[in-house]
Amino acid sequence: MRKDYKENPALENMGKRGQVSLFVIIAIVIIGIVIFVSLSPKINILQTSEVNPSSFLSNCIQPEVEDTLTLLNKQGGYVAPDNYLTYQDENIQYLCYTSENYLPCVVQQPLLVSHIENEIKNAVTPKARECVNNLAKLYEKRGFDVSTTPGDINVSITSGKIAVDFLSPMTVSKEDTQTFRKFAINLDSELYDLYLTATSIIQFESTLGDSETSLYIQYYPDLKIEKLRRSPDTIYTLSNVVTGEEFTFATRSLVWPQGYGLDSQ
Amino acid sequence: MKKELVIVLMVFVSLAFGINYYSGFTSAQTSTVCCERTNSGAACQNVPADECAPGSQQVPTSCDSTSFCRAGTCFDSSEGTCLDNTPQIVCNDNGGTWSEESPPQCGLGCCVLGDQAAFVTLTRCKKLSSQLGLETNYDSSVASELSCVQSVSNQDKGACVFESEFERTCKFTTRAECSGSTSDLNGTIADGNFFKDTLCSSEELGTNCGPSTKTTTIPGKDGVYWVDTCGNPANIYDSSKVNDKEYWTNVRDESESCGVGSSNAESKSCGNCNYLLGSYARDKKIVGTNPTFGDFICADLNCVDENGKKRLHGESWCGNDPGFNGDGTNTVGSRAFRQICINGEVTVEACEDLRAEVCVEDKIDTPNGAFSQAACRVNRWQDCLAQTEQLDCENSDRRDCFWKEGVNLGNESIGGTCLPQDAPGLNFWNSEETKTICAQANAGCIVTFEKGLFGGEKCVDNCECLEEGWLDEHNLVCTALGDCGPGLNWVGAEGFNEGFEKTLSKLDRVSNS
Repeated sequence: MRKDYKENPALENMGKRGQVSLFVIIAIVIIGIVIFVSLSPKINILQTSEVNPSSFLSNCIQPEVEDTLTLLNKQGGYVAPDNYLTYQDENIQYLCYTSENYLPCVVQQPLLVSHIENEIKNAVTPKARECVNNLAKLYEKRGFDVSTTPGDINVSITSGKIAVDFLSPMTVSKEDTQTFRKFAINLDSELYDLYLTATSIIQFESTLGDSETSLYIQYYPDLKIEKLRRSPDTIYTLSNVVTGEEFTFATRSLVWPQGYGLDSQ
Repeated sequence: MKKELVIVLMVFVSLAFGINYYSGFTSAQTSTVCCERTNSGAACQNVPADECAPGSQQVPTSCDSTSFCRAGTCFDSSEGTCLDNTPQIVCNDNGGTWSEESPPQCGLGCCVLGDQAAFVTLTRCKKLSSQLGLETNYDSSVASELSCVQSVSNQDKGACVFESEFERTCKFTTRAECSGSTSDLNGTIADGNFFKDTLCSSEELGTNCGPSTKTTTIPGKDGVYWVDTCGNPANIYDSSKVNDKEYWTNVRDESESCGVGSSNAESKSCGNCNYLLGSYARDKKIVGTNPTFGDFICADLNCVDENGKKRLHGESWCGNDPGFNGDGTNTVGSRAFRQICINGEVTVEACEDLRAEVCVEDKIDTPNGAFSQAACRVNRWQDCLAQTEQLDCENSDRRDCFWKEGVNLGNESIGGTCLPQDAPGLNFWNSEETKTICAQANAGCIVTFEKGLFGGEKCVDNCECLEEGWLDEHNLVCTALGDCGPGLNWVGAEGFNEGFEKTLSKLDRVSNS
């Protein structure tokens, strides 16, 4: 049988006090949870002495590598193009060029893959060193003794992969001593095939003055080649239809003078 | 004595003003030097001396004759590739090895990479083999790419059964790899038992591999394949065979699988893709269609052109601007284009601007229908005006010209004029050339009238010059020379001026006889 509090005032007062207490307890619990949740990351950071140097450096360097690659792929493999045409606000390097009419172009960059590896290395090295210094500071804040060297970067572009190895011996000691010799970043990428195709197109352009893009289709199903003629230049955009990666470069080859060519004589 | 008054009327159509055609061809030749690096950063160019970058080498001769810019073969020892026509200094500065003739390192041979092959240099073969974790298997005696590819296609393939971590397991591979003489990414397979044309999922083998509902793609193959529980590829994906024991036991050729003779594009049940028919195995996320099993499906690579015609992947055709007619009546700014169907998209490639190139197209008959191929090639209009014979003019092996009967450009002994089929575009907004060229179509015609004894006039000579057709004919000559005279631009808009000027002047002459 249900009790009716209205029938007994004493019971009614007790019930009200109990409700208030219950609300206070609930409020304290909620506030406690809120404080715990808001502080928990800081607590973790303050309490954790373990640092994962590999993921720290990877998170620090990888965006720089990706940004550099994006820039290189828009600009014909050059961070700062020196012999280029400007198209839609992008400076696109000539990888094969002639200043004369009626002649095939002269190869300007025969070792494209090695060149791009060097460009990545040069662009990423300052950031990589900054990242190592930041890592060292993080360790030092936690009472570790850290010994680092400037280090060196190895970039390797191969089929399906771009590997950036940061060779920076770092010794961290407190109670134990840990030595890290190499930090590796691996990106899945099909750019290697695009660079080799670009080299093949340069070969065609320097020999025949032009290239036949549909030839590549029968060998590389994932490859798409866009050829944009902007007299006297040609802009090639090679892309992988599966990964969406693109590489753009320019050539100037077998130039036909405008009209009857009287102005150019 | 007969007294006759002859009135001479001169009709003169002028498109430019009295500049001799050939006067423009003579201009001062600027002497050039071979420059190691130009001001704009280009390497090894024949340019005027003032365009050479300060401090770079320059020799007053052609680059072909210099030691530093001579073209040769550049060998990339890290990639194992060779590039011809590379200047010595460009090759060496970039870390390559330059030689005037193709070096022995650039010789090609057959590189066997598991069940694949590549016709490459030895250095390249070593690099590819190391990337794939294979031992180098190179044969320099193979003379052609075709025989190289054939040499691996004949390899026996089947189930290689071996013990691994106290389990009887299997790898689908070649007989050579199974023999233990070669290794794969997971290490050397030692003393495997090879079962030709048998799948690893075969129950008879008694391995830990069995059928699954997953699919995969195989490098170098077009289709979607079932994959067993050990990750080995099995037969072509066919959803009706998911529980078919026989289908999971023996290797079945693509020609004996589902949907033979069809592209099977976007088929949910059959993964027998055919690249030549316009389909290729791709991830279902890219295609946007889910197969019944697995993550891969035959993507449709074919296209539909702007006229609604179906085009096969790799097919190309011409799609010129409307004013590109081949009869000398090109509109200003009109251009030839080549269109290509690639991966389900029509890509447009413009031929050289100013009609320096034209698009040519032909069709090949294949079992799957006509396959068109197009290409941009040079517009051979340059020597049209120099032809004086109709036969030479219309020799399509040599030039792209047509013969215009009844009009001439100065030489009245020739009965016609040879003109470009597709007139070259002229830089008329920023050049003196246009006036020179267009002036060639200037034409004068003296019409003779005879006064009668009792008044009135009668046209007796060159009367056709007064007819409208005469003007039209000469305007055609004018248009066929280049962007001259009256006409439209490529979007069909007329110019601000009429494009020509007609002058009539009267000369009075009295002849006495």
